[in-house]
Amino acid sequence: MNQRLFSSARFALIGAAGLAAAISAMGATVNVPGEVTFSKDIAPIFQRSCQNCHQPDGVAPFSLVSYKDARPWAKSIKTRTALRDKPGTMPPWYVEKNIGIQHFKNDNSLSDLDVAKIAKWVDSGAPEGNPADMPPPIQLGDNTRWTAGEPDLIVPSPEITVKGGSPDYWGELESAPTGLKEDRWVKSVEIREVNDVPAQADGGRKTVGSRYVFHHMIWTTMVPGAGIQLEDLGEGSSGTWPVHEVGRNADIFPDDAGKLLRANSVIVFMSAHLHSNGRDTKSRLLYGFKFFPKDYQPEFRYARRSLANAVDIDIRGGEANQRLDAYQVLNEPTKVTTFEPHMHAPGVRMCLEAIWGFNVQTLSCVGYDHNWVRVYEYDDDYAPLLPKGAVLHIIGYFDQTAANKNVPDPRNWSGSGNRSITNMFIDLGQGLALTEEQFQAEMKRRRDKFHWTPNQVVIGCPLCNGEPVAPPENPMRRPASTGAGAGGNE
Amino acid sequence: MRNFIASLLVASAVCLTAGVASAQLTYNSGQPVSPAYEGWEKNPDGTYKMLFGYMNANWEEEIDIPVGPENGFAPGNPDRGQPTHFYPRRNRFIFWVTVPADWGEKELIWTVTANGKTYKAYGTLKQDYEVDNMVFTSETGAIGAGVSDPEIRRNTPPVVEAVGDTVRTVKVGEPVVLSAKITDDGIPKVRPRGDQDDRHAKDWGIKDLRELPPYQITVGSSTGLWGSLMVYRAAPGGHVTVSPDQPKTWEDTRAGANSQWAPRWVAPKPPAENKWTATATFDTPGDYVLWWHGSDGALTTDLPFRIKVTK
Repeated sequence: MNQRLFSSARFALIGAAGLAAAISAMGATVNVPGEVTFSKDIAPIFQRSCQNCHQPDGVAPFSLVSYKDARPWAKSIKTRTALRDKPGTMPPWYVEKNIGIQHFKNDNSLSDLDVAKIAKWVDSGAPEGNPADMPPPIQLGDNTRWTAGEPDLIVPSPEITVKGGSPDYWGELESAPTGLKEDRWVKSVEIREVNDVPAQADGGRKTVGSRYVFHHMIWTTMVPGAGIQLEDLGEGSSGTWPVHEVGRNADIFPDDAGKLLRANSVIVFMSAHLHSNGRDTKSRLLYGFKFFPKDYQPEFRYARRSLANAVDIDIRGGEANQRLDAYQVLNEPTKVTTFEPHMHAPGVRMCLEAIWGFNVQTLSCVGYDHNWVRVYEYDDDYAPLLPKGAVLHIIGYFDQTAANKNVPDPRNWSGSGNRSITNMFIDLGQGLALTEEQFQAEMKRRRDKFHWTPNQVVIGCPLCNGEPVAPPENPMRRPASTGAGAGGNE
Repeated sequence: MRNFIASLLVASAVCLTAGVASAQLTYNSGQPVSPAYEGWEKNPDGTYKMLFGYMNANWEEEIDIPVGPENGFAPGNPDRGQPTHFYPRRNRFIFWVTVPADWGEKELIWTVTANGKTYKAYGTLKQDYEVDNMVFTSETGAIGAGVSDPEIRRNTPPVVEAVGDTVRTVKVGEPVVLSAKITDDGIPKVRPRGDQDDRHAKDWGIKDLRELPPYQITVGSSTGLWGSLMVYRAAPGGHVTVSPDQPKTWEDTRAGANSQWAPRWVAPKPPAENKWTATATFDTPGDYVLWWHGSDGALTTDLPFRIKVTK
């Protein structure tokens, strides 16, 4: 993680009732036997999920490497980790653990046991324990560390300056050559904002965006003169490049669905949404690409995700828990590879559902914090696999009250718009379009791998637990039951 | 015992309803109006202007609320030039109120009560609320998700000039012709609000583009110059008939609607010499304010006409 954890007082500590609820939702049933010490129990957790940012000279405001570093922050650490999926939680990963799919490629969250250990450690006086119990130190990078791995290619955007007192701005930047001499399939892309805001300080403004000024970057790639863009949605399409968003994490594409970066291509920075952080800030984006091997060829093409309803939004001032809905009918069998809620300051939660006839499955519910926009990458074996005709449904929850510290004036009404203080409501996630044969083959692969039977209803794959049922040759008669193990009496 | 059970039931009902988010339904009428604080801009003389608009939650009901306790500003003069006629849905960036250079952290509050509910807009100089032409252009939807270019950043608002007097006296039922010359710099160009799927319609065998469901990832609008005669203030109980039908100045996003925010709407061809004309007929005596509203799809200009209607 190259993003600052535990940053500032930006997030209000949730009220006692909310905190109690958060803890009881996850920690009350977790029993942590024996003494909990920093050296034996807490340091391994910090190494795994915190030290990428919380290290000396890291982007976080303090280090969590040594006991001496961590001890002064013990109470804050307990509070933030207990938030779990709510805005303000640390590390910034917001998947609700009691609903939907729980298998992601890029999950850096703490387990219920981790959180319970931290709580017990703090409640018992945050003891150091025996220093000999400390795990070997992990190798720490500097604050330019790439979470998806060291890139094969790094392309910087032009540097821009955002004045401390300036309104929102949207515009293009000069294109940047990739320098690539041959076509390559991209395995991952990680885009990081690098600016001159001191690592140990806030940006200055106590509202949305924190230290960052790039609130989004819509970009594409093309070969000058050839006009080749990624957005060709035809056969073999790579779909679109993911939009960069404030505080966003890396995109790791499926092994069978890379994205093509052409030789001699340039990055076209189509739309930078800049939002002042309250101080004059020099900033740029670094694009880090990792490639598949040179002989790689993708198996799947990307599907178009058009899951949004960003017009007609009506968010009343002073009210929490306001809801919006949007739907998309899938025109082809689809593998949903990522879920990426995109809202703005008032957004605090989004859920993704799959509606298949009268069967409705909640695929994911996640908290949302517009300082840390997350893309959630489903594990390949658990990525939603939906038939043609299924409906994707997103439910957005908005909090226009003082409890949401991203909102500059929660008393005010807020509608649709591109500003960080007005509202968007989008799932920017991506997915793969499958042929009927690919769809059946993928379901069979999972069924064989996990030995699913009709007794196991699989979240995200409503047809995975049974064999195909052939249409009747004589449509006037009911088909005979062919489901393995379906049982029942005719 | 019965009271105890009743109390339990009430408590249970409260518990069940608290925290349940309801979807936003498309009401025709009966819903409130939320005044909206849109932002502020600094004037060259050091004063500031605060910008307001509103959201009428109804899709059909137009509401008239006279200036007073149910439609007023505080502190100070309750009449700061706000509308008294509220069109349906989102009416963005409607009117400015100038405040002194030493305004500091004070608040200017606009209260609106409609259909029994009161909402307020709190005008402040908070940094996040600073606006300029780029913000107007973006929030109106003229640059989609924010793809601007040097040309649109040079855009200036339309110029709206009165043709004839802007103060008139007419009788009830007597049509009055109101005209304005509306010109523009031609930026942005006339462009219908399309859809990314249009280019695939042929491949998909679709012969009527309207059969493609409208999709908008964020605010979006058609661009190009248009004018509209709109009612801004009406006498109590008064109704104004404007002829011919005007493009809607509010964000009617429904397919086929006569609004720059509707799918595939195209700006009308400007009239000869850019002279836009409509007639207004009034059914009740009193004072009215109508605006000739000029829009290039990104920026707007309004010119008020004050009409005194007698018996």
